Amino acid sequence: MAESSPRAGKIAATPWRRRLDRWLPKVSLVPSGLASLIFVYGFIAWTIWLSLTNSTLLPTNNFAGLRQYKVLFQLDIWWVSVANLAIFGILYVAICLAIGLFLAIMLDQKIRAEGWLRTIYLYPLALSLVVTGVVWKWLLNPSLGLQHFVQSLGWTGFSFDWLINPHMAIYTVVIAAVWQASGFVTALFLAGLRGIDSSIIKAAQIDGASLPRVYLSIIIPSLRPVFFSAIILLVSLAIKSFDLVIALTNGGPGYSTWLPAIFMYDFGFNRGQIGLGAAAATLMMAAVALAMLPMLIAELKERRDGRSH
Amino acid sequence: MAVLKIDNVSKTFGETRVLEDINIAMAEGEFLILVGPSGCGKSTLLNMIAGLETISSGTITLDDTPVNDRSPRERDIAMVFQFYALYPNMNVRKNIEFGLKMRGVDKGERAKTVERVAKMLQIENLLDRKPAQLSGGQRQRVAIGRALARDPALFLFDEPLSNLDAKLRVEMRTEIKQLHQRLKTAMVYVTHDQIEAMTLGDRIAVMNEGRVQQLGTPHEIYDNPANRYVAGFIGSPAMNFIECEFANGSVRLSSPEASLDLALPEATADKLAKHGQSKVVMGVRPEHLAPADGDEANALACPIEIVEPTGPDTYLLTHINDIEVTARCTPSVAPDVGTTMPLTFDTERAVFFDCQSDERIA
Amino acid sequence: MAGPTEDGIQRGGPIARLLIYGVLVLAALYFLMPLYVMLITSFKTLPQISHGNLFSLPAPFSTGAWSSAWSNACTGSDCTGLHRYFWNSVAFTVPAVAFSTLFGAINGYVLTKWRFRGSELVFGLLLGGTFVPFQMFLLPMARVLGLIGLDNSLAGLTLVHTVYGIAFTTLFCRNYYVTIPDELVKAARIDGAGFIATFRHVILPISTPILMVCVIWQFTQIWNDFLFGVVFTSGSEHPITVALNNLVNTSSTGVKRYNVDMAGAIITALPTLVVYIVAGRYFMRGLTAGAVKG
Repeated sequence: MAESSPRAGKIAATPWRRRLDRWLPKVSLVPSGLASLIFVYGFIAWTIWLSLTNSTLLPTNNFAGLRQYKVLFQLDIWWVSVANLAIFGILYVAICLAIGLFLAIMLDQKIRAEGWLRTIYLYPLALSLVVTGVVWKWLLNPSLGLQHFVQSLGWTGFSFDWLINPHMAIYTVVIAAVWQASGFVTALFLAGLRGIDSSIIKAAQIDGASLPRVYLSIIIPSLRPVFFSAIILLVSLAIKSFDLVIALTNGGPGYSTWLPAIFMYDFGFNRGQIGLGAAAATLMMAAVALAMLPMLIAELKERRDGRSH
Repeated sequence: MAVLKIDNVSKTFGETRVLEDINIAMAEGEFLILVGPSGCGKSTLLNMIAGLETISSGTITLDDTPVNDRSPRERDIAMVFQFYALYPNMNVRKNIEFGLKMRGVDKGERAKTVERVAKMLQIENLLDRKPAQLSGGQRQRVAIGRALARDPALFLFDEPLSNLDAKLRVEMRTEIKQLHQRLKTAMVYVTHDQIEAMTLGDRIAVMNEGRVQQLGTPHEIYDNPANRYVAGFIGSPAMNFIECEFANGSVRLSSPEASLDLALPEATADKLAKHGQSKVVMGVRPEHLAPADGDEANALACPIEIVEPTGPDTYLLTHINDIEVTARCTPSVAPDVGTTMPLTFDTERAVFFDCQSDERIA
Repeated sequence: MAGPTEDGIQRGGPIARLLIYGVLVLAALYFLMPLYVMLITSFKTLPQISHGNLFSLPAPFSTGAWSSAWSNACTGSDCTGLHRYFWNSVAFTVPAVAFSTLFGAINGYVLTKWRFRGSELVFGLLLGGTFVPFQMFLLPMARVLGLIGLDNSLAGLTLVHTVYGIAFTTLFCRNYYVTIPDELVKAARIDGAGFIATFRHVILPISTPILMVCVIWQFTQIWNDFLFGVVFTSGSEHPITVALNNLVNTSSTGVKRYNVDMAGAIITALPTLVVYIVAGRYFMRGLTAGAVKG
């Protein structure tokens, strides 16, 4: 009988506790969920809406259809920004991948001071892009920087004035950005290399394959997922690039190093063209989404395959 | 009074039914085993008893109180997990007393309990260690200690020994049995290992595909299996299932070398006759299939294909009715491979199943 | 002659090894060169800079550029050095890191150990946000901050960084807590611990590694941010990154003081650099974790 049991006291029901445990998990997710709904999804909708209005200095709600986009597409400065992004993005991604893969393979050869080298390769990522921009601005300074240094060594005809050359300035952005990120790509590839089963390499060598052959036909192909995530990461970094350019060239000379992110900031906040700024931001998001698409598809596919097992 | 009563309990996860219509009542001090293959629902059932899993329909009663809506905290239970689940940041002492602390037991009382439990399990010298510094066996002992400290009305064990190596498993099995005999507290013990089930349980619930196939004492389960599944699951080597024709009170058995009409006891023959189908499955445990001892009238000459000595017993493998059959004999009478040996059948202990439904007929 | 090493893989001979080491050291010099130049330039005087070359050591060492950068260099119209902006950055970075890490830990705990119908949806929402360029949030956020009176304030920056950091900290913590066996939480529930007690006594004490990752990742991201700082603050409320840019790029007063620029750059970089050197392995873990979904 329950009331005569000596344990009856031990199992006293406490409904309030039960209710607390049912509600607390939900309640504690509410702030983050709500913040995400408002500050991410709400703002996305808001920005898209702004891009469809004729907002200028102040946001308005006058629907203007795709007029801002039409205006945007007629602006040379927008197309300069897009072309710059294409040049910058392609070179940035390609060079980072090349340096990263190369250094990672070198580091994976049972190197003595590997930890030290890795630490050195990676530290630029801890720096603010503004700092990177400031340093490279100094290094690339034609009158006192690298050009001056090489000339002072005796090669007086040496010229490296890209920073002030409108046709070449965008490449200085590539140089600084690559310096910042290639150590990170190295670390990504190195982690990928460490994940490869070394018995596969041994087996291939026993079959008579040389080490370069093993890398070309076995190891590098199996790094596909690393390439994948590195590319996506670098592409989205490139699309968002802002601080580095501001610090390094401030968009100049002229508009020669503008990128969409600078366009968005300048039109949205300095020139009082909120509608245009919103349109530029929306197109940037579309570009990132486009870059993400392959990964999302691959992930969904993997999930479906995983479930069928 | 029932410590635990499970009435018509079912569990569904979305569309899939993992437990169907479970009914079990446990007496005070009983040691109940839930045994079955992985995925049979035994762990889910245990989690439902603990309150870690909701009940889709039916009622679970602890100490005459329905507890469907109660949290684990409000049920007078303690649980030991497969992977020990010791809190890695706490030393052994804190692990053991955590449940008491959460229930507001004061410090002095807690220290006394830890001392008592540690002494009982001989882990006094480990009290200040962290779980990471313990061996697998020590960890499981601490996990048991944590459950003991609470002095619950019911202990739940979720495959507690399956992570230990074979030797340690046997030792701990004995210890758990001794513990139960000393505490006389009811225990529900989940395992997939039929030897653990047989050695530990007062009663065993053999589960498969979300249903209790049979609930009974180890002897009942072993000698009187309710169906072919239970008969095959319990016992090692497994029971032999020989398909055969039943006619005129006997079944026909053929080895590659001879044939025999094996006469069945009257009671068995009556049941089979009443069942009315000529094709049946005869179940004979290896120890009930023995080399004939002089009297070879009711024996079948079988060519021995494989001989497996295990030490105490030797297993002989042959074919009867084109089915591989294992017989058990003492090593002294074991024949050589290739010789022919007359085998007798203990017809009193043989069981019969329906060919299609696998249900027991006789 | 190529010979097998202890792992059984055939590698190149001594000449090839030498080449590999040569390449790796060269790469290290490439990565270190800007830091070296930054350092030595900051200790030079202006005449030393214009007469010497980029890589020559300062002789004598001068700390004038440092004190100028800290206390009286001009950042735009204002000539009080970087120190107030340094403390600005500290003032919003510390709370933003703390809040976002705390929320991340709780979210990760709920998302792995107290799942409920719809919790995966919340996670999906949070995760989706990590892909969106911040430019999408600037215009509405500027408006909202104005409406709630937090425009041009450090509190506003704290809010912004907390909000947009939670997705990352949640992701980190969730991926970490997934690896903690559920049995541990079950055991705690059997022992009578509820939602809060389990978090406090069982989960939090074993979360140090992932909290380190969150703190370091968030600290680096927030300290180094420029975009939110330049958009949502002005003048005396700027974070140090914006002040550094102003110091370098908008000083109108005649002579460019490159040594002060470099000293300012080092002051800006120092906190994150120190964190990187002290807790590099957590930094790397955060990066790879963030990279997968970031």
